[in-house]
Amino acid sequence: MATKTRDDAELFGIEMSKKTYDRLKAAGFHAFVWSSIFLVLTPVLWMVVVSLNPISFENFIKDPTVWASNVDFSAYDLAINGTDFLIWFQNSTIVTLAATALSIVVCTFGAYSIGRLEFRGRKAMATFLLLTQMFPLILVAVPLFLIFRDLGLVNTLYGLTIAYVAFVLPFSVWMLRGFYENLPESLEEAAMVDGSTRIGAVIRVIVPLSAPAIATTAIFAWIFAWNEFVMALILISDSGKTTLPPGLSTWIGRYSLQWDLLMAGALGATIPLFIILFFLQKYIINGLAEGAVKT
Amino acid sequence: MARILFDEVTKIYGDDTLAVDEFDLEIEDGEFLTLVGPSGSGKSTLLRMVAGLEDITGGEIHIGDTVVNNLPPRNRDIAMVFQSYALYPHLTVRDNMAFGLKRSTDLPDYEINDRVEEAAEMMGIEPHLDQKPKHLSGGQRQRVATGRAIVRDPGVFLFDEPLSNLDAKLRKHMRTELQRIQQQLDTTTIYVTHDQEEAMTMSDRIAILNYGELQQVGPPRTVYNEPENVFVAQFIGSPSMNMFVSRLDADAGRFTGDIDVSIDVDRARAIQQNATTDQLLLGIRPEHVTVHLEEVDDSVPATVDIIEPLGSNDLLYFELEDGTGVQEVIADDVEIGEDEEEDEEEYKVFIQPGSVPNSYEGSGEVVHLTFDTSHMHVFDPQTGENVDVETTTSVDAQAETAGADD
Repeated sequence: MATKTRDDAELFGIEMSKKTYDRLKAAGFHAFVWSSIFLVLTPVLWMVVVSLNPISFENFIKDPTVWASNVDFSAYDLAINGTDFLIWFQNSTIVTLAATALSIVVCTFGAYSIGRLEFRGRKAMATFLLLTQMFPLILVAVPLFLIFRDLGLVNTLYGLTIAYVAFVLPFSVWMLRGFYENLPESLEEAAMVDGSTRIGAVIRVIVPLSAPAIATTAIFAWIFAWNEFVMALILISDSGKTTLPPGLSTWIGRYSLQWDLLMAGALGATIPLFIILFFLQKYIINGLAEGAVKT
Repeated sequence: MARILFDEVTKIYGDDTLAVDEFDLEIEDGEFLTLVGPSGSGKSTLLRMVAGLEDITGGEIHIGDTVVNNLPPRNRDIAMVFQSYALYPHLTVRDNMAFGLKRSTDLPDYEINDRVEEAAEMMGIEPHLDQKPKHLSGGQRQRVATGRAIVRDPGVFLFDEPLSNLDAKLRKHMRTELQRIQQQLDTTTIYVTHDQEEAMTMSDRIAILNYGELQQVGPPRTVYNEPENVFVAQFIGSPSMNMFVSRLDADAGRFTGDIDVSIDVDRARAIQQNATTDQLLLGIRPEHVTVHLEEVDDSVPATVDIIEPLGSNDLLYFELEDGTGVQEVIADDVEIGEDEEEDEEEYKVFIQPGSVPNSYEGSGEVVHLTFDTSHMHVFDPQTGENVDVETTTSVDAQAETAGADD
């Protein structure tokens, strides 16, 4: 057996130079990463493919040129001009923006009070919040519908917004609370000695510092409200007042299914999420890693 | 400018944790007062009560002529420097310093800016005004924190162990700097520390606390030279005071026990009158012990443990042949303030470098000690009180303690 030098390496029992070894390792790593990415993105790619020309997967694989020769944007045209898609999109945007904004405000102060202020029942309140997360959404759907009906909130966008805020709050409050508990208390104390009220200290010092955590909760609220289906289906009955998920579902007919239209609509519904995640992703990472190390 | 008055201030945490017990003290306008004590002594609690960050359970705190018990921190005309500095991480140094002025005054922006720059110049942090705190070193952060306090020109400065996160050299430097600034601004200051050396060097007066009770208050020299009880004696001074156990024979004017010393009969009788027992604690600071290599009159034999070179002089640790432990005679409820090193049972003496050969270390070789009885303190182990008051309390110190009691 040859004497090994420092530059030699071994892979699966085969000896090779360090350089080759490094290259092979890099190639293997990239192959793995890219195939994973491909796997994850395939459904999205397939949505694009089908929305441009409905075709079965087998035919597409056999001869992609058949697909390419018949590509057109008719499904998009139909979705925009022939259906309520734009209205649903608008409704979804309104409800999502309102639910996100409202839940951030409520949850900032709610989490602060549970994380920081001393009052009787603080721990019980926090536990209770977590408990509400253990019920499936569908369990409260019917009672909620009855309550909303009596209050006249059924079939309105603000009714839906209130329902979304209520569902998002417990988890958001729980998450932000942990963040606040890790912030040094002396910061607010310094602000209070420096002439702020407690609420002033929260707004001027605590909120700017918790921006990553707040962004994370905002994304959570956004995704929830944008994608929510069951509540919207139950609380809204007018097509002109419903949001994207139940709206799109009406395209699935009993006997026919327009795949190209459905995929075009689904892609249109995905775009806002792409945009918000693109801009806020660094905050998600920051927010999730926050508190791991003392700064 | 403001005077601060504590009137029977009490703080109880939860239902039964007594943090501060009927604390009375008056701090003059422009005075630099240090609250010193071991951890858990209630000194930080007192400071936070002045700041309004902690509720007051009983009694009153006055700042100037106002009772501040129910005033929120922002209305107390105070500025505080925190142990952690508590700089706002998302703001630049300039905005950190301007924060208070923007909140608590109607000054126009240019004037706020002028004042911030003036304070920054005073603290030597002008080049860093537009940096964020995370880019600053510990010392610079400390300066920003102090700058943020002085820029507001408050009636009272509150310092909560502001130097404890700095290294030893920087701490000494900042100590003199803080003192200089306080003298320059002549603002009433309460400074909390557990470091008795900081307390000694900076303050006009020191208040020593233990378990929420005021032990003694007075100028640094007074508390050093005339400790009122055994806790103060042990806590103030580094290295701490030597404590010997000896029995007093008042008629002969002589102590016998750990060490045998003679004092004049009048003093001995006065001590006997004050004391509740005749087995007493003799407190003698390391600088008031003399080491002789040969036996002399009234000397006490001892063996050398270790000699520590400190530079200008050496510190010699010695052991007595058959000493009685202080713990054996002291009453359970009397605190013998151990210093940070908890070495209250070790005996120390300052010597000239080289005056005792290093070969004496741990060899059992006997040296002979004499004690300066005029600087000796005598404590009653049952009460912890200094029972030698007649001879050691000066007129000046009596005035101080009287002032503290009103």
